[in-house]
Amino acid sequence: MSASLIELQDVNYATNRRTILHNVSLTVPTNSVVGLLGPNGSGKSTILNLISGIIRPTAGRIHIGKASMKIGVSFGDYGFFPEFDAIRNLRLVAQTKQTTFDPSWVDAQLHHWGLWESRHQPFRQYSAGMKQKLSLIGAVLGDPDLLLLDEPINHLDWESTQLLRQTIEEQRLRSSIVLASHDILDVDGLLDYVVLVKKGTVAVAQTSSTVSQKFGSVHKAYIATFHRAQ
Amino acid sequence: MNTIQQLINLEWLKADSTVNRRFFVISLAVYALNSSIRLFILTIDDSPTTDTVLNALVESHFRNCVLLVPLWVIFNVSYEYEHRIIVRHVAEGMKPVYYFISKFFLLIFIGIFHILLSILITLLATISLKIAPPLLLPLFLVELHTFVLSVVLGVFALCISFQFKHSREAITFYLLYMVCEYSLVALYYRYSGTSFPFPLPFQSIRALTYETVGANQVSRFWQADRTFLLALSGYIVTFLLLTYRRLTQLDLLPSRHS
Repeated sequence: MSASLIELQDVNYATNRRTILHNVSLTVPTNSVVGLLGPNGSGKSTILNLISGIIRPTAGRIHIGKASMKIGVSFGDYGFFPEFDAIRNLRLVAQTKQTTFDPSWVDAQLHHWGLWESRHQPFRQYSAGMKQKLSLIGAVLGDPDLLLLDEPINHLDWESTQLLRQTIEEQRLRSSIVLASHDILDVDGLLDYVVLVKKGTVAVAQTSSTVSQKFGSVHKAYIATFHRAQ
Repeated sequence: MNTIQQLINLEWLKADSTVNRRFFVISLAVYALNSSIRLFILTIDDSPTTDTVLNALVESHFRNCVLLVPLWVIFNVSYEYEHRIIVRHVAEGMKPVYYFISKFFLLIFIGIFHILLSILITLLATISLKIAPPLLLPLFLVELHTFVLSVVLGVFALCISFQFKHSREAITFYLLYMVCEYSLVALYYRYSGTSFPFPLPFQSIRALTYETVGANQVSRFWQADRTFLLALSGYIVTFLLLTYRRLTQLDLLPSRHS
């Protein structure tokens, strides 16, 4: 396994009402794609929030393998002002990341994702799929060291899904990627590491090839973990 | 981008002002209604004087500030989509303090806007009632003093509400704050021997207003400040009680990772 960028050690997260994560340990190696897979409410997004630093673990440790790490996130339609158009919103993202806003790069991305025609439309008028695409552009803006993608394929059509796959393949050469998904079929074949999150615990955390050898395929591992037991 | 640029981030200010458009409209409506009611009451009075007009309008201004500033904070900070916006930016490296400061500047702009509006209403009122207009400087000082007090309140509310994720919690907080404020001010007057012939729910506002109206008397200013500080202490107690959980869980303050 290559050097780790992020390492979670026995991380717990709880609110007053309930425990959301219990003794979660996982590693995000550099230049790899880690998939957090599990049904709705299993704790995948909470793990992403912990890694991004939005929330802190109630117990356990999170180690960062790099002194200064640039993070890009795509949490659905989070982070965009409804009244601003695509370009103004992306300029704000660039400011936040303290990176240069490169208009030619942004234009190319808007063309690439099919948002060029609607670039001057307010964000609130975007469809769910368009919001998702803009969120993904914002995430990769500024060449982050770590990409955190929460259900990145939600609302995307087939063509856009292929674009996302292509983006992830390109991005893995220079970033680590952690993506959360409840649908294994969406992300099958993209992942280097598979983390199956079940009711706030990590049921499986291995390389995709190990999981495939053990269960036959990642898909079968998912079925065995979440459906057979239930 | 350097720190100074981040501190005064014009893009955030512009973005905030789009979010605040609805609040501006509500604020103007409340303001106009409040002042109109006060002026209507004055026209019933046989002999309105400069003092009574001034008192009435400053009182309505103070009430507006006390009510609108925390409401503005709740509207802004705990507003669902605003929370969704800030979460992404914090995740990508924005320090929450910059967000606070952008909000603070917006609050100041709203305050200046209110002060100018209040002075304008006062002048229009004195013209329509055919009485001598008050000197602008004392009037401005009274308004400014009132507003500075409410800004302090607003900044506290800003810091506190930022920890809230849902508007229900923010509203609970606001109600608790009002209860604390009224109770503490009432206690202050109960034990300081000062009596006010007003029903309790309006006591603090009226008390503070009448203290504040004595703009040319430094001691009265101080007295009003003391009263305000008492109310503020109630605020802090509420803050400690309600936000402990948020401070420990939704930790958006420095030191993001262990």
